[in-house]
Amino acid sequence: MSDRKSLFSRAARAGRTALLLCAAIGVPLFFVNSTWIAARLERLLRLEVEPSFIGGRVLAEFPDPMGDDDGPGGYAYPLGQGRERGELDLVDYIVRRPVSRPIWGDSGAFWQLDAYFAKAVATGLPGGGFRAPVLHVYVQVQAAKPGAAGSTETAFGEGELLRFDPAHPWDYVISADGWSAQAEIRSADGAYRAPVLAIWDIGQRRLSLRIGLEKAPPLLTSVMKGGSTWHYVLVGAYDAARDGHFAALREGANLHDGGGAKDELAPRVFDLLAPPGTCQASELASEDAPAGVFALVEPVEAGGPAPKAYDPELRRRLEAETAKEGLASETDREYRRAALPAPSPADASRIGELFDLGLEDRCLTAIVADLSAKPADPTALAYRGAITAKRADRAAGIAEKVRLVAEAYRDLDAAAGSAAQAIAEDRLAVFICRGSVSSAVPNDVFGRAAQGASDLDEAARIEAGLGDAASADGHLADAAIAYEKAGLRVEAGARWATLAGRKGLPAALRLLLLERGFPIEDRGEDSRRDSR
Amino acid sequence: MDTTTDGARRPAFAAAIVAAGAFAFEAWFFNAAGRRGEALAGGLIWAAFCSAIFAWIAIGGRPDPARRVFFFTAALAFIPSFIAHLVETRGHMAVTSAEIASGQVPFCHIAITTSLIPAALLRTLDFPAQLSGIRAAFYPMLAYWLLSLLTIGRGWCSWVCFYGGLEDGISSLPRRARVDIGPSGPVLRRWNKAILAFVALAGMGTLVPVYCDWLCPFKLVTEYAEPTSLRSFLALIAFVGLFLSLVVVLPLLTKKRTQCSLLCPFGAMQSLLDRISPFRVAIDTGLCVSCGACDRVCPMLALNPEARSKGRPESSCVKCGTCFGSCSKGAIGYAIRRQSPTPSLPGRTKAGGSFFETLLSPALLFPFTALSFGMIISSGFSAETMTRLVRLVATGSFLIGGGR
Repeated sequence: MSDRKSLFSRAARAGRTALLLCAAIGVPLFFVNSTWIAARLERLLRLEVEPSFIGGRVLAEFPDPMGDDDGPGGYAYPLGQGRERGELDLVDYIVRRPVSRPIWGDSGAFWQLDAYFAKAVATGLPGGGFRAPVLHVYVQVQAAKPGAAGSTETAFGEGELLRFDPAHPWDYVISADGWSAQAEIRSADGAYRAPVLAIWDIGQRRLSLRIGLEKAPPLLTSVMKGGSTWHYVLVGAYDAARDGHFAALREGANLHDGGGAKDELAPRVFDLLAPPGTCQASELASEDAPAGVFALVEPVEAGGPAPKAYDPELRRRLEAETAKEGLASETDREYRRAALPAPSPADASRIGELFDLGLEDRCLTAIVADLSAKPADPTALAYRGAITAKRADRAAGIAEKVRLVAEAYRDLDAAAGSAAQAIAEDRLAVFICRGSVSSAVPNDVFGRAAQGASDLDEAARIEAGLGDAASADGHLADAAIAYEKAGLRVEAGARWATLAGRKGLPAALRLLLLERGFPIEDRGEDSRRDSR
Repeated sequence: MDTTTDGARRPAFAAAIVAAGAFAFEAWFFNAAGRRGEALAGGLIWAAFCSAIFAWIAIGGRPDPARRVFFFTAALAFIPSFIAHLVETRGHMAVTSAEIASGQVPFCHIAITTSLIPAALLRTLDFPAQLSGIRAAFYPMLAYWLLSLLTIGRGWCSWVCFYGGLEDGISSLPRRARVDIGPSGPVLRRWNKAILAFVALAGMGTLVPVYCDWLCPFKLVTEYAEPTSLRSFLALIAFVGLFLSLVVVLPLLTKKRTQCSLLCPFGAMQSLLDRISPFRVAIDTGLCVSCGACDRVCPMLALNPEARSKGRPESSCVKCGTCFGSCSKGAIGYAIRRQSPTPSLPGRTKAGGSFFETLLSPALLFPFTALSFGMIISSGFSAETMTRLVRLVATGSFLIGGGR
C-alpha cells in the first residue's frame, strides 16, 4: 500500500515538474513562434474591425488597371516636383455605406469614399512639394429626373476639359488633393459648399474622403437610404494656378504642365475610373477639337443590382479551351525534349530550357558545371533554388519540406542579390524562379507571398520590355494570385483589372478573370469554329 | 536567522546560477540577437539589466525588491518609447479621425475586456486597431493574454503590465501609508469586478470601447482623443483626473495600487481566470502566527485574517511576492496549485536543497516564467528606450528620423 502511495506521490511530483517546466520553457518558445500563433488565431477567428471605425462597410469596389496613368495613352507627367510614375495611377476606388452613428469620433453621420493609388509619397513636406494627385469625384446621388438640377459640365471653369454623360448629370463634386487634410464638396448649382475630411494614408496609398452628412442638404443625405449612386472619378496632376488645380497638358511636358496632348482640348485627366466593359483610353480620346467638343466620360454605378453570376456555358467553354491550350503546350514540350541534343558541356548554356522541360537531374548537372566556372551566376543559383523547392514539394515529412525550402531560399535570395547587374534575360529567370517558389510555398509558414508577387511583377515588366506580351500577361496573373495569397486585395485587383483590359488573352487567364467577376472577351464562336 | 551551512547551500546556489545563465541567454536572444549599432547597444543594456534582476531574485531568494525595480523601470521606459513613436509616425500624441480610419490606434491588453464578447459573438472588433501585423494588434495581444492565463495568471499585473509598473513604483515611494484603506478591502475588491461587468456589457451593447473611451487613466502618458468638442474635453478631464488620483495621489497616500485594485477591468478578468495558471501564492497555516504583517504590506488588499486562515490570498493577489519578506516565519511563498508554499529558494533555507529541487521549485520557476514574460514584452519598448538613449548620447536626438 505504501509502495503504491509512494509511486503515486512520485508520479504526481513528476507531473508537477513537467507542468512547471512547460510553463517556464513555454513562454520563450511561445514568443519565438508568436507570429505563427497569431496567424493561426487570425485564421480561426476571422474577425473584422467594426466598419464604422474605418469608414463603413464596403458598398462597391472598382479595381482600376495599373499603369494606365497616361490618360488616353502617351501622357507624360509634369517635369517639376520630381514626380514618379504611379503617383497619379488610381488602382482602386471604394464606395462605402454611409455611417449614421460613428463610434469614437466627433463627427456625426458621414459617407466615405476611398481612392487607392499605385504609389504614394509624403507630400506637402519639404522635398515633397505639390506632387500629390488631385482627385475629383463627381457624384450623381439620385437617378436623373426631369427638371433635376444636375450638371454635365465640369465644376471648375476649364477644369478637367471634360463633359459628363447626359444620362447621369452630377449633383455634387468632391475635390481633394493629397497634400491637404481638407477637401471640399459643392453642389452642381453652387448653393451648397462644405469641407470634407481628407485622410491621406501614405502606408496604404489611400486617400479617404469623409463627407459629413449631418448638416447636408436632403439630396445629399438621401445616400443614407441606399440605392444607386454614379461616380466619375478623375485624377490629375496638381497645379495651384489652374482651374480645379488640374495641371494643363501640352504636346511636350514642362515644369508645370503634362505632355502628350494631341490637341488643345485633350482632357487634363491622367487616370479615369472607366466603367466595366469600357475603355479609359477611348473615353479620354473622344474630344473633337475642331468642333470644340470636350471628351465625354461615363460614370461607374455603386449600389446597383448585383452583377450577374457568370454564364456556366461560357465557363465550360473556357475550361475546354484551357485544357486544349495545356495539351498543346505539353505536346510542344514533348517535341522539344525529343529534339534536345545529348548531354554535353553545352548544357550549361541551356539550364533554363532543361528546367522548363522537367529534366531536373540533367539540369542540376549543368548547374554544377556552370557554378564551378561562375560561382555567383544568378541564373544557375535561381534554377538550383527552384529545383530544391520542387524537391521540397515532393518530400515526405514537414520538417524535411521546411528544411528544403529554407535551402532553396538560400540560393534564390543569393541569385536575387546578384541579379541587379545581370542582363534582362538572367534577371527574368531569377525573378520567375523566386516569385514562383514564393507564391507556391505556404504564406503562413514562410510569409513570402508578397515578395513573390513583387518578383512576378518585375518579371512581367522585364518580359514586356523584351517584347513578349503574352508571357508578361501570364506573369501579371501569377503576381495577382500571389497578392491574393498575401491578403493584398487592392494590389491583386489592380492587376486583374489591367488584364481585363487586354485583348487576345489565353483561355486560362480569361477563366481566372471570369471567376473574379470581370467582364471578359467572349470568343465563343471562334472557339467553336476552331474546334470544328 | 539563516543557519544554512555553506556546504548545504552550494548545490542550490549552483542551480540559481544555472537559471540565471539561462535567463541571460534568453534576454540576449530577445533583446540583442541580430541587432546592430545603436539597437544592439540598447538591447544589450536592457538584456543586462533584466539578467541582473533575475540573478538578484534567484540568488537573493525572494522576488522583491528586485522585481519592483524591474517593473517600475520597464513602465518608466515604456512611456518615452511610446510617445516618441507616436511623434515620429503621427507628429503628435492625439488620436484623430485619420488614425482611427487607418486603424493606427495600438491595441493594449486592457482593451481585451471590452472586445472579447463582441469578438466572440459578432466577430467584430470594437476597437480601431490593426488585427495583426504588429505586436500592439488584436491577435498578438490575444495570444499573449492566453499565454498569460496558462502560465503566470494574474502575475501579469505585477511582472508584465507596463501600466501597473508605474503605480507599483509610485506606491512604494512613501515610507508609510498616510491613509489606511485596509479595512475597506472587501468592498473595494469588488469594485473592479463591477467595472469589468460594466465594460464587457457596455462593449457588447454599444460596440464602443467604453473603458478606453472614458475610464482609462493612462491616456495621459500614451495617447488621447483630440479635445475638439465638449465630449472629448470631458473625456480629457476624466482621464487626467483619474490618472492623478488613482495612479499618483492615492498610491502615495495609501501605499496600495488603487488603480489596479479598483478600476482595472483586465486585472479583474485575470483574477477570475487565475485558476487556470499552475502558480499560486500560498500560506502555510501551520507556520503562520497571524501577526498581520503581510496584510499591511500587500499592495493589492489581497491578505486579511480570513485569507490567511484559508492558506491563500484573495483572488486580487498579483503574485508580486512583496509579502514574502514581511513574514518572519517564512510562511508565504510560491506554490503549485494546492501544494505547500516554498517560502524562498531552497538554497536559503536550513535544509539547503539539492540542485534539481532548487531548479524545479516554484520559488525559482515562477520568477523565471514571469520575468521572462515581462522581459520579452518589454523588449519592444524598454530596449527601444535604451536604444534612443544611446542615440541621444551619440547624436543628440532622441527621435529616430526627427519626427514630423
